[in-house]
Amino acid sequence: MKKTLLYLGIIAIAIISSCKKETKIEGPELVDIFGDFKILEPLKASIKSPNFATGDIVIYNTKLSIRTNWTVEIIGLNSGAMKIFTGNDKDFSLNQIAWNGSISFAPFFRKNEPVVARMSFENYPDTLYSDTIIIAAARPTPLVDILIDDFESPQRAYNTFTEGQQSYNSTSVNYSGISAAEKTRFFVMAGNHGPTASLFICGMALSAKISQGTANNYFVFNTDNPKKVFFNAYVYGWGEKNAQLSVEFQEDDNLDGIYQPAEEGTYNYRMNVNWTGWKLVSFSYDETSISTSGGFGNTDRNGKKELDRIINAQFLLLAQAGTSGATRVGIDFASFTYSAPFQP
Amino acid sequence: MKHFYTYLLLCLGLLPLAIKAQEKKIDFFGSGRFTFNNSSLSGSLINKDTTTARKQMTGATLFDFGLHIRPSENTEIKVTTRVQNDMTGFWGGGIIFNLRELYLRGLMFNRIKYQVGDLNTKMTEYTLFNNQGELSQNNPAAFNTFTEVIAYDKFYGQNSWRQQGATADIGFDFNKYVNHIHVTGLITKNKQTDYFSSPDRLFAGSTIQAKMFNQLIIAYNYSNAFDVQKTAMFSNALFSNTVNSFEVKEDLKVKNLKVVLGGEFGKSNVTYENTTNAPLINDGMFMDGAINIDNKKKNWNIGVDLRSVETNFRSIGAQSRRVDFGAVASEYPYYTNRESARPANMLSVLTDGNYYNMFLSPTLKDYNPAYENMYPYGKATPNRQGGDVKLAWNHSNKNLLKISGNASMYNEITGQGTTATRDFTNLEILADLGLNEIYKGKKKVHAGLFVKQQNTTRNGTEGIDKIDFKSTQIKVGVEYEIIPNLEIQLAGIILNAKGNEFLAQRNSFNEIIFYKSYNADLQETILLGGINYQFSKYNCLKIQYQQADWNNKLLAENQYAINRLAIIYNLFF
Repeated sequence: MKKTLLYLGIIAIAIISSCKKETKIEGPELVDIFGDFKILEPLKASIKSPNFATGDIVIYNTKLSIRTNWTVEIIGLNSGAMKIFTGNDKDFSLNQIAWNGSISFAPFFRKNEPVVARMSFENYPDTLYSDTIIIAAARPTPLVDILIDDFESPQRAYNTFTEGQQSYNSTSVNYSGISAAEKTRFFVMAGNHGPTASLFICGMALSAKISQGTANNYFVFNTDNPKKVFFNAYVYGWGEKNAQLSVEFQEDDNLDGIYQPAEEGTYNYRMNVNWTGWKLVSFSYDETSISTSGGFGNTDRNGKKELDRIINAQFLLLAQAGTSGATRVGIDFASFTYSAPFQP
Repeated sequence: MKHFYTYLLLCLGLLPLAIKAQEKKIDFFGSGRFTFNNSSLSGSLINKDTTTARKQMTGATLFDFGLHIRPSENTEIKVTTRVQNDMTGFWGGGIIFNLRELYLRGLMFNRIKYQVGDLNTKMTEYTLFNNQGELSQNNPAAFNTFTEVIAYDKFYGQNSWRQQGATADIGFDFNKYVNHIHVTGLITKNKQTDYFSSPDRLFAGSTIQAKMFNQLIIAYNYSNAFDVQKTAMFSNALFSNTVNSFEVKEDLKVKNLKVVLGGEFGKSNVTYENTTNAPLINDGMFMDGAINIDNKKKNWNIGVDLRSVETNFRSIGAQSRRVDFGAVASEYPYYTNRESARPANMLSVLTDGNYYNMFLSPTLKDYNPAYENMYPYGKATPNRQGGDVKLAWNHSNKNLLKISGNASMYNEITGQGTTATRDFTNLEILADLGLNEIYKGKKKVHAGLFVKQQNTTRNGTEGIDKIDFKSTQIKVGVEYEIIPNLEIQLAGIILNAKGNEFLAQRNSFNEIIFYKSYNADLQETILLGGINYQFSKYNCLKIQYQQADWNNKLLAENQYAINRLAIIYNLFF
């Protein structure tokens, strides 16, 4: 028993002696986040007439009394183009909002366009507006590495197809009432579907040969690493919450120049198009998954993703499960970039 | 042709003999499961939510087929494949084939045990340990199959993490003072490089354990998660997290009492090399001492555990969380017209495998304070000091009554965002009653009750830093055997959480960079009733009606209920 008490004593002394309170604080001080909210300085832009073509960068500044979640939207008053910054800093001189004329949402900012910045806060009703600035020259659109299609040529040989039982499906290279994300035209897939119908509505495929305008059957990349190749496109949503877009890449596994869907693989990337307006969508080829549609690309002869065998790029309009009614989706400026997503 | 038939008959006749002859070399095992959930959504939420479907039907059939292959006396290969067909995968379109498990193990030189491939890895609660998830313990039997299925699918085993790599262990026996020395080592791949900016990460661990005087065990444990140089072409950034610990355990006998004294202490080290903005992190210490006294004659047990874990203590192997609250639910994943991700409710945590993580994480992941606020990362939760007292007693007829309780008091060592520190208290009571034992009935009638109350307080020094947060869980279950192997199971879980908290948001270096204010007046209930037919120990069918209600009165417009018919058929063979 004495031995037990001795052990107990040693353990208790060791633990108690290790108990301590540190006066140091872990993390930022709460008073710096949940204290009184005040706007100490108005939102200001550093340049009144930026020339983004020559590399001007507009710095937006303000000063707040506490750190809180905020959003700054830089809005093109003619085009509706938008660049969004989010953060929770209170002193913008330390962490600047630096805008180089790029966009978060298409279309692009235009030359001589008035632009205003609007700042809103997650936990406070206040809204700040900056003075209006005028864009002297817009930022040139950065080059993509491979342009799949900008959909500016209505006569291009698109392979379009629809669900046979649906009478309202249609595909079009023109769509009235919506400005293209890039230049003047874009591609629309639209259709109607009943609650018990197939989820597939309609689709469009474009061969690598037509896309590139060369005799080569396959898209020509300078790498075979699927992590290094990014697909990019502007996707328009009408906020209908029932559209799904599947972007698909058909691989001609045996290199015979013909894609056989029952034997060769299709890799796809699906997204629910629940937003309203244009959104730039990007993903790496590594993020695609093999098709799960029996007989439609769900078997890959080689069992792996092979960039050098992509023979067709295909876009499918699908209905989100459990939905019904008319739905549609727009696509513009589809491209591949290397190493990083397209950053217009 | 006659000869052909003769040969065929002979072959068919000999086939069972051939299989029998190979019985020792190869044996088959597996499991099968069918799940079906038909649920509907109701509550105030649907008045404003015009986007979420009101009903959902999901389900899947899956089979695991496994082989034990023994090519030699000292070598065994285990391989398991999974075939799964979700209910939406028509005509084979949704079939998924997976290699679920593959390892080779054996004995070298008749002394060294080894295993390569998939491993269940576990060391101590401060070095490598897969802590139980929230709400997963002391549940009524009606929930068992669901939690067992999650543990089986995610390879949780006995608090182990499933990793890929190699392990080996060797033991030596001695005659004097030291009875036995056991050395174990493991190395696993923890993260795959992306070839550009994120390098490969390995996890290495070893334990040297010595048993002395037939009653004293002393052990040294070492774990290290480290990035491998030059596996990412465009980055030299390297992360390393080591933990060194010493363990002592002594079994004593004092009169009729079995006394176990134990303790573990050690320190962690975290370094970042060639990483922009990486902080310099001081080493973090921990110390844990416990005594457990067991009186087998009088059926009682008492245990005391005192613990201190410093704020900087980091252990990737012991602080990784099983429940990932950042995951998306498999049922009604989004809600409201903003289509926000629906936060996990109790039904999700108890039955949805999507929320369960299988990977070690270098960062301290988010948790829900309503479910657990004191030990979100198990015993290795950093910035805690205090102790637990555990008591347990059972009737001489163990099937009649078992009662246990646990009281804990902890506080923070360092204040988060203020000099004031949080205080935590936790009280748990569990009672298990075999009602049929009272009146000596043959049909099993069992009732269970678990109550847990957890309080978090902080007396603010600046007004805004005050915290007062209380949560209470009550779990009740009754099982009644109608005929042999067929039970009616009724269960209810009620959770109340009320008050305010501040949830720390951390960057990739685990530094707190911001706080989210959390306010709740939450009441969650799950009521369920159904039957359980136990075909055998390894084969059961559950049909249940489950009703889960989520109501945070501070977000009254989001109140919702999920009513679900759930069928689960589970088989191991």
